[in-house]
Amino acid sequence: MPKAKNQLIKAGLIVGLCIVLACVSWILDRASMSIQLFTYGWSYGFWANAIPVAALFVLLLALFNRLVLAGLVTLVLVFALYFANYLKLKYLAVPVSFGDVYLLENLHLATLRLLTDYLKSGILIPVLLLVMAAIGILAWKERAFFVRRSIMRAGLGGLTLFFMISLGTGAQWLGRVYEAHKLRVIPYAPNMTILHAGLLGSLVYSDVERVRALDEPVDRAAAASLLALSPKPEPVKAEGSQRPDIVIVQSESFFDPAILASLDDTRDLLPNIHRALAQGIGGTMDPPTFGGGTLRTEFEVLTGIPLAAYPQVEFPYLQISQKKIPSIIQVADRAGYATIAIHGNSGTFWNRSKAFQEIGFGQFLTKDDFSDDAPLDGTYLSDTAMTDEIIRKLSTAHAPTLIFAISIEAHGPYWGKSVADPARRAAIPAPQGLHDEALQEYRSYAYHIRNADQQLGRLWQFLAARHRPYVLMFYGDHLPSLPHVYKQSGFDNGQSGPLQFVPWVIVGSGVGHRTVHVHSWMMGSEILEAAGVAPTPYYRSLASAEPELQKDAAHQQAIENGVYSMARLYLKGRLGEFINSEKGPGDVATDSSR
Amino acid sequence: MMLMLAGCSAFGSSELEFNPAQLPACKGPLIVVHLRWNFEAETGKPVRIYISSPGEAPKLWSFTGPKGEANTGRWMHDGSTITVRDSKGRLLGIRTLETTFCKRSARKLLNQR
Repeated sequence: MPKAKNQLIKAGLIVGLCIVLACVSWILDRASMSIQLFTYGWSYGFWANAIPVAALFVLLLALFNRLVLAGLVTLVLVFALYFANYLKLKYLAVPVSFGDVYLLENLHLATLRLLTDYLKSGILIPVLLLVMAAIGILAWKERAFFVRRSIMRAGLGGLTLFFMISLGTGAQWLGRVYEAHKLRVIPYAPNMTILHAGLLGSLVYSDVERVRALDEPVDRAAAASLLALSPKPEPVKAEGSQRPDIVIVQSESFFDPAILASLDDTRDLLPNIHRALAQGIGGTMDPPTFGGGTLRTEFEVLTGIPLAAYPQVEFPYLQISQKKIPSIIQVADRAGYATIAIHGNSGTFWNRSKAFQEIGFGQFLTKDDFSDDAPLDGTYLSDTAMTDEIIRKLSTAHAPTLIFAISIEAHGPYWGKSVADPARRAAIPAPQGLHDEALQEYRSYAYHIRNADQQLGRLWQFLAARHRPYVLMFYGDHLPSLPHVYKQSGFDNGQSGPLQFVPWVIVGSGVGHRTVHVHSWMMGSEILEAAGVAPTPYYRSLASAEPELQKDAAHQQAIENGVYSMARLYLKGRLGEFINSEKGPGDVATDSSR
Repeated sequence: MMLMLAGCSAFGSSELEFNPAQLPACKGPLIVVHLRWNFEAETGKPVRIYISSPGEAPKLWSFTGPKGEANTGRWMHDGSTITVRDSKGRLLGIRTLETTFCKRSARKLLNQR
């Protein structure tokens, strides 16, 4: 066969296979979103989604020099991506996003172990073995596609390498191809963006955008309006009075199931949170995540920075890295507190070890620091074990202490897991209308949050009996992933899971009763105020925003814009300079953090 | 689930039709769609019709005969999906509403950033 004809056939084969892979990936994309399988086929988004698939295939072809092998490996990787998207939508109600890349960069054994809980490994292992066998046979038996020293091979390899490098660096030319207008991007509605641009198309778009993730504009007028609001009077501590110990418990997946349509009363299940809400400051809290993503709520509580100010930031501990991240921990440290974080999992999970240093914790106790006989309940260290650690640290403290404890016992999934007391789990009353998987899911979940509530009661009793002032904050980080329960029951207010709230409460020495709805970024100013720690100008502004946000929607929007702008200045360490320019140097800005 | 979806009704079912077939440019965002279905060849029993948005869990809209037609409410939007299943949960048909591109609304949305 003449060389030119041979080259033409090879080029045709490559193009043909690229189109087949593009179509298959588009069908998988649609399937993972549970929509009709060729919706928006051949659209601009279709081709935008096809480019990364084709580039990967051609790069693998240039590397392996085996046509079918390169096609199969591409297909396996694409399938894995869309399967992950399907699972993420099912359990977390959000699609795979560019932020997940940061999770992959920081993949540790603890993360893998937790994620594999969501897979049915019984099917996974034979499928993986089959795929590996096919890849092995193809690598061994398939004939080379290009001749030795092929110019076509070198050219294609170089071209795709250029594409991959552009992808890695977020090159400008990619921004012109993956432009929001052409892709029909719907800001803040990732599912609709994927509908038009495909998952891969929207990932490349986000990649290009990521360089601007923290480069959000500051509306100085909105920030100045917020600053001009009369600040609340600063809490005053009487001379010589003891500073209260501060304990903050972030309870994994804790919400009050009474908001489910099938359940009216949870006072028997969660007596302590109900008692605390009746006595202390608290109510409902709007977390920035649903079904998972604990670190999002955690970041907002610790820093007071709303993640809505940074729409491109999904995993703040992974995407925000600077020498110091301003936080209530630094405020407490300056007020003379010893600051300790406690979490019964690996410190590498969510990159907490590094992030907590930047946030300013003096000490971070992780799973390895728990005692050898610390009890598990279900898969993880129990809330009892976490409370033991809190009590142990407070009992040996020589200075006022702030403890931030992150529980893990109630982490999902909530099926097929053994627990320490299966009889107690089986005896949990069945809510009306829940059956089969939903009932199993509910009972497992309720078992763990009941434990969380009991430990809240135990900790509260311990603190109250110490004859030392204290402030205890308790809140849920987000609603859990309970797809069967939500499907069978729904919620009292008729809204979906991501639009529900979690409970939060503060009890302690001199803490009166008040009911208020908050966002998680307001929690820092609440705890500082309850503990009588003088807030910085940033937290004073957040506190003054709180009553304003209870007003009409238009007013809320203006206040939120002010908060977001102020948060952007705060994170970049420019708030002090801004306040001085607005109010004059009298109001000392101790918020500079860089 | 994903494989089942991929295996069935890959390119839309002729027995499940929307009128209008597409959301016209710059109309909406919500419209009423006239729905027509016929799955008598697949089942003689009643079928379940579900509605959903992209990536979201479907909600039961109607439990009805295998052949029929009806108007939706004014809640169909870009990406709204109608799924029809038989009594055993087997997928009979799936259709998603597409829109033609509207420059005016795209510009408005992007300016909200």
